[in-house]
Amino acid sequence: MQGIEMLGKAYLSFFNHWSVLFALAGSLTGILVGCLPGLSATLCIALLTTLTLKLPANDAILILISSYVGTLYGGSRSAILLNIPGTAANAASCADGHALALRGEAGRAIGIATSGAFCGTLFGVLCLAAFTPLLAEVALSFGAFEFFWLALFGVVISGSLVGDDPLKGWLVGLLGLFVAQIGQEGLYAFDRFTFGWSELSGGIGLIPALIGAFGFAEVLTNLAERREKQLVTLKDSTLPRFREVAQYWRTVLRSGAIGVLTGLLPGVGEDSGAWMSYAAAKATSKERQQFGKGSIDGLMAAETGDMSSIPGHIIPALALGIPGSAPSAVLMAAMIIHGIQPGPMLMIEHPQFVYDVVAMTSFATISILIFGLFLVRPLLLVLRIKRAILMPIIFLLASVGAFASASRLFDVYVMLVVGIGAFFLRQRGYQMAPFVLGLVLGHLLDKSLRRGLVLSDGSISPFFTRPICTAFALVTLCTMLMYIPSVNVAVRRWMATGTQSVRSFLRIRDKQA
Amino acid sequence: MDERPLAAPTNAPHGESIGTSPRDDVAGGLLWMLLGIVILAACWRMDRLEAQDINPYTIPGLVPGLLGLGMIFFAAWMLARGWRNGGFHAVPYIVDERRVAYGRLALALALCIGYAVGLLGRMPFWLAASLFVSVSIFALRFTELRAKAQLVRGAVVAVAIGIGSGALVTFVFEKLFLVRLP
Repeated sequence: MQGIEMLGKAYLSFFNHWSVLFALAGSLTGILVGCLPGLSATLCIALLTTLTLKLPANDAILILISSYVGTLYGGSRSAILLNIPGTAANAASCADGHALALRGEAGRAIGIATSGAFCGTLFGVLCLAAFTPLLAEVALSFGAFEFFWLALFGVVISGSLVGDDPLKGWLVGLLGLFVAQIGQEGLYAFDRFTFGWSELSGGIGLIPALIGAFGFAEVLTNLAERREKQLVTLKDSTLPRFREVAQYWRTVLRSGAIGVLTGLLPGVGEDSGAWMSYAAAKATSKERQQFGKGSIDGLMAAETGDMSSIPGHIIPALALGIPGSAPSAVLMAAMIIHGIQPGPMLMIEHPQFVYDVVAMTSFATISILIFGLFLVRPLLLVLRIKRAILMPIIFLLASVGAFASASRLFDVYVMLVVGIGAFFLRQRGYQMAPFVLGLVLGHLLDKSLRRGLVLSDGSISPFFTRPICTAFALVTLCTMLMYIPSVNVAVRRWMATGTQSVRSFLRIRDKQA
Repeated sequence: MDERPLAAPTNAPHGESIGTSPRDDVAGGLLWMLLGIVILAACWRMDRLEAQDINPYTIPGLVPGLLGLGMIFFAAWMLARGWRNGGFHAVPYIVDERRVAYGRLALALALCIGYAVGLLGRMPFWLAASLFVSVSIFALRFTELRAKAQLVRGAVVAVAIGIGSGALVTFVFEKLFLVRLP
């Protein structure tokens, strides 16, 4: 009851012209950035974080959440019209969206993307309101031992699920955890790996590092690519298709749930939500032969799955202080900058804020619907800007964003170094998501392990015997063991045998009955 | 999340990730192992704050040292994978040159580093920004503009965009949102 009251209060507090304006402006910026292939939600939120430093916390976070939702929604435009996803999360929309565009139904595809995005985010918002307080309550029982495993679990899961090679994911995750150790450590303020360089004492800033990994690296990637794709022209109506939502309601609900669930996994990203929803829709659809050739079901599943994962990513960021994706990591950093510490204590220190975030995400959802209804064609003009013109301006903004977080030129150099490193690592097939998660969780891992060892007087047994720790340890170790081919084959064989035995047992029982 | 590798190996075996070849594994494994050893050695030599009589389980080098160990373990795993698949003798994958414009990449790197290290903080921000954007646009479009015989027009457009963006970014960040600029 108190929760509903707070939710009502949150919605009422945002019903003013400034909040509406901020939500619309944030969404519009996000859609424009999302439309441009290569520019990510992470970069957009990082740049807007520095722009909104002087705004009150709620206004700043409203702009950031709106831009987050807008970027992922905007990314479907270039996926449909250029066959290049605006963000990686929209990659699943390329096949069916672009196929529809080539058939002269680009407007219809954009309409379906709008309705799927709207329904998906709305579904996620409901889950955000319902599950964040519950998860935060569970997290209150976490101690140093549990937080140690949570940090390690996050990096291992992210490394396993993002990209094709878990080994590379884990190594990059470890690198992120290590980079987070640079600077003064939290217990004795001892300088680690600073080599007497005073500017390194403060550590590697998250925002400059993220702008480097997702901004500068993307600028370099864009400028180094030769490809120039042709834009498909819009001929038909781009209005959202809610009749098709009603027709594919099962897909919408299933994809919404998959999106939220994948969103809960640390550092996995929105693209997993989209791909898993797409795969689930393909497995159950009556029109599965149409998938990849312009299936409405496929496009709806991909867009609903990727958008519903946004609130899904915000849930663990708020309740546990563990971001579900790179953009939500920046969002979390922005919250800390504005004096709100996400984590289990959030529901005690700032209980209203959780419901404010629900209201902000709802406003962002309505904003993308408004832009989807009225401003599709004018916004597409941004796709016609040449890379050679756009990229220097993006780098200019990136340098400002890196500098403005702490007003230090040193952070611009950090952005350069991380960006160049990320560019070359990506060339070799390394993904940046585990690195980002490592960077975010490094301090938590360090403090939790050392505090835990002090509490247990050097014994490591509580790290394995406490119930939640046991569960985290088992999942983490099994995830890694499953990567060993012989273990993987043995487990699959064992599961196949088990399934076969259960089936034969059931068959015998049915016969006997 | 939001990344797409640039250069795909053209003769990568089916089912393997981009950039994953036995040879890549060997090279990557060796580099990661070297990094892990350096981190471990640095942690071993790190001050254990015995003079402050701290709890030995809270020494500053503990966690980074464990991370270094983890890196060595996974690097050895990668190295073993590469070695098992013949990475010490394998022919390197041919990178698809058509997708990568190394000249443009070098130019972009030079422009960005030149701006960040050479211009930023040494002159008013609007001037540094305008110079960087103008020169970058002109340089990156030079081949295209020369082919179309529009060098002068292209230069004018680049300068106009440069001055416009420099002024706009300065106005929006510094005047409108009160953010300090370099």
